[in-house]
Amino acid sequence: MSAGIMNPPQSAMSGGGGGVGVGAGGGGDNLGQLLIGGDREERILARRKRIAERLAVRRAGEGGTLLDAEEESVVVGLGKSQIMSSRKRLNKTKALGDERITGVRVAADTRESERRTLEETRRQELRAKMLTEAEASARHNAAVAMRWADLFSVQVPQDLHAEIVKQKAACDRIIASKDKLVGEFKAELKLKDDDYVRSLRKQAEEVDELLQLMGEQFREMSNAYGAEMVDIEVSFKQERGELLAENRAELAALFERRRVREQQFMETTQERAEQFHLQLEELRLADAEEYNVLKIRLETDIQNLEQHLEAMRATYQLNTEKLEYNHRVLQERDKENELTQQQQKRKIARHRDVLSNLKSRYAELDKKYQDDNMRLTEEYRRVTEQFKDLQRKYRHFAKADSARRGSVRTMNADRVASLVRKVLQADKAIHDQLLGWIWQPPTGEVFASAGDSVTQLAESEAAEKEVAAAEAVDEQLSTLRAHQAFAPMIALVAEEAGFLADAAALRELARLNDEDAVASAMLKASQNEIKSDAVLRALNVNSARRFCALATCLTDSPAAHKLLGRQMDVSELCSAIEATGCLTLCSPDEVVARLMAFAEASRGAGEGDTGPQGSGGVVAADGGADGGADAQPSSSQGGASGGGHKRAEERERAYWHTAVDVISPMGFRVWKALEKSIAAYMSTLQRRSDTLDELRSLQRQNEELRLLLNQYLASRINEELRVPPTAVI
Amino acid sequence: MSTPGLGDSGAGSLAFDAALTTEQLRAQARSATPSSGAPKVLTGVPYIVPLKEQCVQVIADNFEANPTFGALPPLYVKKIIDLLPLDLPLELVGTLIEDESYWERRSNARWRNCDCTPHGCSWKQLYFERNLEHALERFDPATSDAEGLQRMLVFSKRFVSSIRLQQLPSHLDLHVIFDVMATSLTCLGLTYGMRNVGMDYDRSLFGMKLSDCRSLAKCLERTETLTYLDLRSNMLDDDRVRMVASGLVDNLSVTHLDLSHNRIADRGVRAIAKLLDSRSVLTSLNLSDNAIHTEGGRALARALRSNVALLDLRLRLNRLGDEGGRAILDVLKVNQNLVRLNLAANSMGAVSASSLAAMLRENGSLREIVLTSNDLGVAGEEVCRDIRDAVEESKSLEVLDVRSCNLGLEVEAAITETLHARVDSQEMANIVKDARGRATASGA
Repeated sequence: MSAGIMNPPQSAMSGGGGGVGVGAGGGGDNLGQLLIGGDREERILARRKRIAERLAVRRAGEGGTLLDAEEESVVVGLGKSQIMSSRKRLNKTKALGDERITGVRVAADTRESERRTLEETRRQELRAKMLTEAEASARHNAAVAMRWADLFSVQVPQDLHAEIVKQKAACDRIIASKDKLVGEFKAELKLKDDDYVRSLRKQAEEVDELLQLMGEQFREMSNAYGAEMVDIEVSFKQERGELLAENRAELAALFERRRVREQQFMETTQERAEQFHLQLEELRLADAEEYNVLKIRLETDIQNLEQHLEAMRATYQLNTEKLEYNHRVLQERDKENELTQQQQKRKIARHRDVLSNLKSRYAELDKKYQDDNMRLTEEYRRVTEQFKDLQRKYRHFAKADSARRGSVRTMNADRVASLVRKVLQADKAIHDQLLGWIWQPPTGEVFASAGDSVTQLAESEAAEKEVAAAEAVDEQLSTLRAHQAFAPMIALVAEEAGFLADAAALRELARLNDEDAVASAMLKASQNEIKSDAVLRALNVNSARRFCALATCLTDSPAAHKLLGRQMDVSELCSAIEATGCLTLCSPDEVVARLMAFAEASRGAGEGDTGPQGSGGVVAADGGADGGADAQPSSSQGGASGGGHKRAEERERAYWHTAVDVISPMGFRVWKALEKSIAAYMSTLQRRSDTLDELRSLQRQNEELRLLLNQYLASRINEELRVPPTAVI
Repeated sequence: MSTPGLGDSGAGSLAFDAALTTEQLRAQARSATPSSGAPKVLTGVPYIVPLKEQCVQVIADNFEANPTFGALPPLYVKKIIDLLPLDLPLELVGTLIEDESYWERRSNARWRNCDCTPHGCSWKQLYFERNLEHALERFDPATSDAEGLQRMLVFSKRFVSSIRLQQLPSHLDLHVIFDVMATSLTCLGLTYGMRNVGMDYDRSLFGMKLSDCRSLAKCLERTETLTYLDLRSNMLDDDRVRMVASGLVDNLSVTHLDLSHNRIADRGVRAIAKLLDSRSVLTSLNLSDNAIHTEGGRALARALRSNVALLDLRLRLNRLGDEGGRAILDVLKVNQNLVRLNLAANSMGAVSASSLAAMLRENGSLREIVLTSNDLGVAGEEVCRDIRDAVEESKSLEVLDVRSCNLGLEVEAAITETLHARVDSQEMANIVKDARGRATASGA
C-alpha cells in the first residue's frame, strides 16, 4: 500500500522533470491507452484464472501439498488461516492497484522514451539538413566571392549592373535558402512549443488520473481491508466460539469426572473409616492389657533403677571427693611446677647471659688467638728461616769441622801411630825383657789402612755407589726370592727365625689372622710371605749377593756352594740350582746357629761387601722384638744418603778401636798383672827404702842425741846443781 | 520533591508540598508581575481559578524574560509548556524545551502538511530542519544578514541532521554550511531550482554552476558524517558531474547518491563508475533520467564487476541501448550483491532479453528488477518463454516488472503470477513459523 502511494508522486515528478519542454503524443492517446488498459485487464484476469486452475490441478495431482496446507490450517487455527487468505487477497488487490497506478508512469516512460528516440532522429535530420545547407551556402558564397573579383574587370556600367544584379540574385538565393531553414527551425520550435503545452496538459491529466487512481485504490484498499477485517473478525469469533464451546464441554466432562471420583472417594472413605474403627477397638483392648503388664514391669524396673541410682549416687559422691582431692593435689603440683618453671626460666635467662658473655669472650679469645696464630706463624716462618740458616751454617761448620777433623785426624794419626809403635815396642820390651815371652806382633793391615785416609774416602765413595746399585740388585733379589728353588729355604728361615720378625709385621699377621681365618691356604701363604719378608729384612738380606750368601750359609752341599759363589745372572743361577737340585738344606735345629753365624759374619766382616750397615742391621736384629720399628728405617732408609759418611765413621771408629785395641786384652791382663806385681815389688822396695831412710834418720838422731847428752853432761850447770843428773845416773 | 504524591499521599506531605510550591510560585510571580501588568480579571464567572494555575499562566507568559523551570515538578513543566507562546526565540527554547508537543504545535502552526517521519520522528528536529531550510532557501546576500544565518547554523547544529533544499538562488558557498555542520550533517539534498517562478522564467535560474560544484566537491572531501547526497534536477552535465565526483573520490561516508534528472552523458558516467571501485561504500546510486548511452553502460558494467557494496542501481530513462543493457545484465552474473535494478525505458532489445534470461538463472541476490518500456519482445517467442522459465528457476527474485516490453501478455501474467505466488508463500511460511513459535512458546 505504502509503495503504491509513494510511487505516484515520484513518477509524477519524474514526468515533470522529463516533460519540461517536451511535446507529448497528444491527449487522445491517454483515453485509448485506458481503453486498451481496461481490455487488457480483462484479458489478464481471464488468463490468471486459467493459470490458477492449472496450478490447482497440479497441486491436486500432487495431493501431499494440499494435505500439508490443511494440516497447516489446523495447526495455525481458523483466524490465522483467515488472515493468510485475507492477506493473499489483499496482496493481490494491492498488486493490481499498484500495477494500475505505476502503469501511468510506465506509459509516461514509454512515451518519453519514444519521444526521445524520435527527437533524436529529428535532431539528426535537422542537423544534417543544416549541414548540407551550410555547405551549399558556403559553396554559393565562395562562388559569389569569386564573382566579385571578376566584377573589377568589367568596365561597361550596364554589364556591371547586370552582373551586380546577378550577384544579388545569387545572394538572395543563399539568403532565401537560409531563411527557409530558419523558417523550418521556427516551425519546429513552434511545434515544440505546442508539444510542450500538450505535454503539460498531458501531465496535468496524468496527475489527475493518478490522483483519481490513488483515491480509488485508497477506497478499494480500505474497503478490502474493512471487509477482510470483518472476515477475520468473524473467523476469529467463530474460532473463539468453537474454542469456548470446546472448552466448556471439556470443563463439563472434567466436572463430571470429578463428581464421580468424589463419590467414589466418599464411599471408600466411609468403608475404610468403619474398618479402622473396628481395628481401633481391638487394638485398644489389646493395648489396655499390654499396658497393665507393662506398667507393673516398669514399676519394678523403676524401683530397681532407683536403688541402682542410690548406689550410683553414693559412688559418684565418693568419686567426687576423690577427684576433688586429686584436683587439689594437682593444683598444688601445678603451683610447684609454675615455681619450677619460673626458676627454670630465670636459669635460662642467666644461662643466656652467660652464653652471651661466653660468646663475647669466645669472640675475643678467638680474635686474640687468631692474632697469636698470625704472630706465631710469623715467628714460625722466622724460626724456619733461622733454622734453615742454622742448617746452612751447620753444614758449613760440619764441612769445616770435618776438614779440621781430617787435619786433626791426620795430625793425630801420626802421633797415634808413633804412640802405638811405642806401645808395641814397650809391649815387645815387656814381653821380651820383663816376661821373657816371645812377642807376637799384631796384624799390620790395620796400620796400612788406618794410615791412609785418601783410600778411605775413595772407599766410602765406592760404598755409596754400591748402595745406589743395591736398588738395582733388589730387582734380582725379588726374582730370586720368588723363584721356586729357594721357596723351601725361605720357608725354613721364616719358620725357624720367626722371632726376628719386627712388631709391624707381627701386627699385620695378627690382623690377617683375625680377618680371614677361614681362607686358610691363602692366609698361610700370605703369612709366610710377610714373615719371611720381615725376617729377611731383619737379617739385612737386601741384595742378591746377600741372599746367595744366606743360601750358602744354609746349605751343606759343595756343589751349591760352588754355584752360589759364582758370579752369574740371577735367572741362570736359579735355573742351574733347579736343574741340579743341589740346594739341600741343613737341619732345622742348626738354622738358628747358622743364622747367628751369618749375622755375625756379616757384621764382623770389615770387608767391603756388607759394610757397617751389616753391623747396624744385626744390632737392630738383636734388639728385634722391641726396637724393630726403629731399626727398620735406619736399615732401609739410612742407606743412600747417610750411608757413606756413616761407613766412613765406622771405619774411623774401627780404625781407632784397632789403634786402641792394638794390645789385646790378654796383653792388658798380662800388663795389669805385671803392673800389679811390679807395683807390689815397688811398694816392697819402697818400704825397704823407707825403712832404710828411717834407719838412717834414727842413726842420725842417735848421733845427735849423744852429742847433746855429751854436751849437757859436759856443761857447767851440772857442777852448780846440788844433785847433778850425772850423779843420778 | 515528591510530585506524584500531590494527589494521593497523606495530608501532611500534601500540605508541605503545597506550601513549598506555592511559596516558590509566589516568588516567581512576584518577580514576573511588574512586566505583565495587572492580572486578568475573570468577570462574571463564579469559578475562581486556583492559585497554581494562575502561577503557571504567569510563568508561561513571562517565560521569555525568565527562561527557567526552576525545580518545578514535571507536571507543572508540562502545563507551562502547553501554555507557552509559539513565537519564542529559537535560541532560547531550543536548549530548554524537549517536549515534542510544543514543537508539534509550533510546526503545525507554521507549515501545512508536516510529517515528522523523514525527520527522525522528532518534531523538534523537523522544526529546526525546516526552519534552517527556509532560511537557506530565502537567503539573499544583498539583503539578508550573513551573521544571522551563521548564528542560526551554529545553534541549529545540535538538532539538525539533514538539509533538503529545493532552491538556493543565492548560490551560497557550501562551506558556510559545512564549516559549521561538518560533523553533524548526515543528509544533504540540493536542487538549484526556483519555485513559483511563473512568467519570470529564466534559464539561468536553474541548475548548478561549476563554482557550486567545486565548493561542494571540496566540502565532500572534508565531511565525515554525510551519508545521503541528493543532487537531482540540477542540470549537471559531464564536466560538473566530474567535479562532484572528484570530491567523492576520497569520501568514505556517502552511501546514497542521487543524480537523477540531470544531463549526465557517458563521460560523466565514467567518472561515477570510477567511484564504484572495490573500496567504495556507495550502496545506492540513482542515475535516472540522464543521457547515458551504450559507452556509459559499459563503464558501469565494468565497475560493477569488482564492486561489492552497491545494492540499488537505477538507470531509468536513459539511452543505454541494447548493448549497454546487455553489458549491465551480463555483469550481474558475476556481481552477487545488487538487490534492486531499474533499467526502465532504456531502448533495450533482443540481445538484452537473452542475457536477462541467462542472468536470472545465475544471479542469487537480485530481488527486484524493473525493465518496463524496453522492447524485449523483438527477440521472439522462444526468448520470452525462456525468460519465463528463468524467472521460475531464479533464486531470489521477487519482482520483475516487464510491462510495455512486448513480451506477450501470457508471459507477463505468468511471471507476475509466479513471483506473487513466491512472495505469498514466503509470507505464509513466515506466519506459520510465527504461529508455531508462539504455540511452542506458550506450550513450554
